[in-house]
Amino acid sequence: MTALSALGVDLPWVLLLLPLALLPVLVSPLRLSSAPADEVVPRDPLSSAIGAAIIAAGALAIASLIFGLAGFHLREQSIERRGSGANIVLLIDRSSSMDSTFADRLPDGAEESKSAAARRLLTDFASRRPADRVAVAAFSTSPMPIVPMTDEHEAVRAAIAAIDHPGLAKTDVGRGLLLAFSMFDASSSESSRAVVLVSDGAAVIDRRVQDALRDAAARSPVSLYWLFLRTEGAKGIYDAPASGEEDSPFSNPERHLNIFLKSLGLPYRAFEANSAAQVSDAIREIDQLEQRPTFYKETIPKRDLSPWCFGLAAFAIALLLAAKLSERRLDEDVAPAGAARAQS
Amino acid sequence: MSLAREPAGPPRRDLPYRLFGRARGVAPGAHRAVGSGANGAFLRHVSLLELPDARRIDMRASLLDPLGGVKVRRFERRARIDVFVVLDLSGSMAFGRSHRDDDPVADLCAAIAHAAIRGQDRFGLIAAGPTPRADFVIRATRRRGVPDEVWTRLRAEAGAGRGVGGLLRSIEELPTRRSLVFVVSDFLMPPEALDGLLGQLWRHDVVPVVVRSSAVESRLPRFGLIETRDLETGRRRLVLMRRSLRERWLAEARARRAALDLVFRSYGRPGFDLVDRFDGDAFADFLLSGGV
Repeated sequence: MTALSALGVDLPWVLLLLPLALLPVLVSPLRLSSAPADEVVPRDPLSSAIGAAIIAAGALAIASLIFGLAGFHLREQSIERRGSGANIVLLIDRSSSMDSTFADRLPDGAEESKSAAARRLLTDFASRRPADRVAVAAFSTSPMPIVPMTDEHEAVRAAIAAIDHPGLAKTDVGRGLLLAFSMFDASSSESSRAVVLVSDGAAVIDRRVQDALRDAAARSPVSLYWLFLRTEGAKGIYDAPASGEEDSPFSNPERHLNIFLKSLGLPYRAFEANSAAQVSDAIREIDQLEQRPTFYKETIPKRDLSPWCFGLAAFAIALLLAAKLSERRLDEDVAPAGAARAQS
Repeated sequence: MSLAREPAGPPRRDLPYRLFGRARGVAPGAHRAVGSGANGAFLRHVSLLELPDARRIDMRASLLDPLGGVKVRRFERRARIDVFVVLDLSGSMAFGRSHRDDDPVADLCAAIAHAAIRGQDRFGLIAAGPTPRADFVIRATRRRGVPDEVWTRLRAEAGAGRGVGGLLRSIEELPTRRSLVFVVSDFLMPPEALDGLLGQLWRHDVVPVVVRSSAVESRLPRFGLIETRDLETGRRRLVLMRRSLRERWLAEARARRAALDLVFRSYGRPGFDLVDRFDGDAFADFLLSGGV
C-alpha cells in the first residue's frame, strides 16, 4: 500500500476548490504602495524570501482549509504482523449446568461456578497470547457465533466475559463444532488452527451432523482440544461402563463424544478437569502446544486529519496576520512645507 | 473679474533664467545674442568707414585714436529665445502627484511658462510618455494664457505607460535654433535612454529638473513589510524594511542621484531637484547660480 492511497477525503468535490490556492500568487494580502520604479527599491534576498513565504503561507492556508473542509483523513489500515500463536476458536458450552460449581452446587462465595472459572481462565489465556486470532462461539440448544475470527482482543475479552450469563437448557455439541469449523477464514490457512471446546457435558451427535463434521474435518485440518469440566459425580470421558451396563451414546455421551472426536483423524487432546486448578493446567498445556509462527493483521483505525489541516491553516493565517500587522506603506502624501524644505 | 481671467494655480514670479552662450535669432528680446545691435550694453568700437552710423560716433574715442580714425560705438544685440519644457509623462511620473493642488510638475511648468512670456521669450512644451502625445505639444508661443493652460492640463494628466520612447521621438519637434530646454523627468530610466535623451538635445541649453519624492527617499518607514508596485511595469516587490535595508535604500538613492549629476554635468549643467513641491525661490537660486 503506497503512502498516497492511505489518504482519503470524505467530500471529494470540495477538492475542486483547490485551484483557489493559487490566488495568493495573483493577489497580495498587503496593500500595495506605488513606487515610481523598481530601481528605487534595493534588491534584498531576505525580502524576496519573505515574499515567497507569504505567498506560500497564503496558498497553504487556503489549501489546508479546503483539505480540512473535505474531511482529509488517513484511511483505516491493516498491518501484517508476524507473531507466534494460533487461530483459535473458543467454543463454549452455555448450557445451564455450566452455572453450577464443580461440586454441582449453586455457586457461593467460596466456590465459583464452572462458567466463571472458564471465563477467568480463558480471559487470562487470551490476554497471554496477543498474537492469536480468536473467534468465540457458544452453543447450547443451538450454536451462536459471538465474535468472528479477529485480532481485536478487546472484543474477544468482552465475548468471553459474556459467557457466565445464565445459560439455556440443552447441549448441542455437534452443531457447535460444525459452527466452530466454519469460523476459520481463508487468511488463517497458513498458520495453525485450533478449536478449544469447553463444556461440562456432552450429548448425542446426530448421524447427519457426524457426517458433516467428518467432512469439515477432512477439508480444514485443525487441532482439537476438548476441555471437559467434569462435575463431581458425573461420568468421565475415559470411564468405560461397568460390565453389563449399556455402552451407548445415550447412556455415556462424554465417552462416545471422545471416541467420535478421536475418529475424526485430527490432532486431538481431551483434558478432563475436576477443578479450576486443573482447568488452568489444561489451558497452559494448550498454550504451549499452539505456539507456531502466525501472521496476523493489526488494524489501525481511520484517523481524521482535518484538525491537523485546520491547525496548519491557523498557523499559516497567523503568519499572514503577523505580516499584515507589520505592513507599512510608502507615504505618498507630502509632508508639511517646512519639513519638505528641510529635506531638499 | 470673470472666472476665466483668474490665474490657475499658485501665484507666479519671474525667473532669472539665462541661456548659456549667446542667443541667435532676429527678434528682439532680453538675452545677449550673437552680432551687434544699435543699443544696449556697449560692445566695441568700429570704424565709421565700416559702419557709417553718424548717430553713434564716439567723440572721445575718436579724439584719442592716434591714427585719427572716427570710431562708432557698437552695442550688444539682445534677442529673444525660445524656452521649452520637455516633460516626461511616463508612468513613474505619476508618483505622488495625482490631482494635487500643489502638483510640483504643473507648478514648475506653469512658472516657467509665466516667466518666459513675461521675459519677452516664447514658451513651448513637449510632453510625452511611451507614445508621442500630440495633445501635449505646445509650439513656441507668446500667448498670455499659456501658463494657466499648462497648469490646468498638466495637473489633470498624471502620466502612464512604460518608458520614454515617445518623448525621444517628440524631441525632434524642437526648433533647430538654440533654445533653453528644461527637461523635467524623474530620470528613472536606463542609462542608454538618458544618454539618448540628452544627446538628442545637444544643440540646446539643457536644464535637467529631477522630480523626486521624499516618500521613497527620506521619509521611509523604519520597520515593516512594504509591498511596492512599479507604476510603469506593475511588478510587485515585497521588502522587509529594517535598519540595514533602510540605510542601503537611502545610500542607493544618493548614489543614483550622484550618478545622474555626473551625466548631467557632462552634458552641460547639474540638475535641479524638484522634491515634493515646487519652491520658486529655490528654483530662482538654482537658475542664478547655475546649480553650483
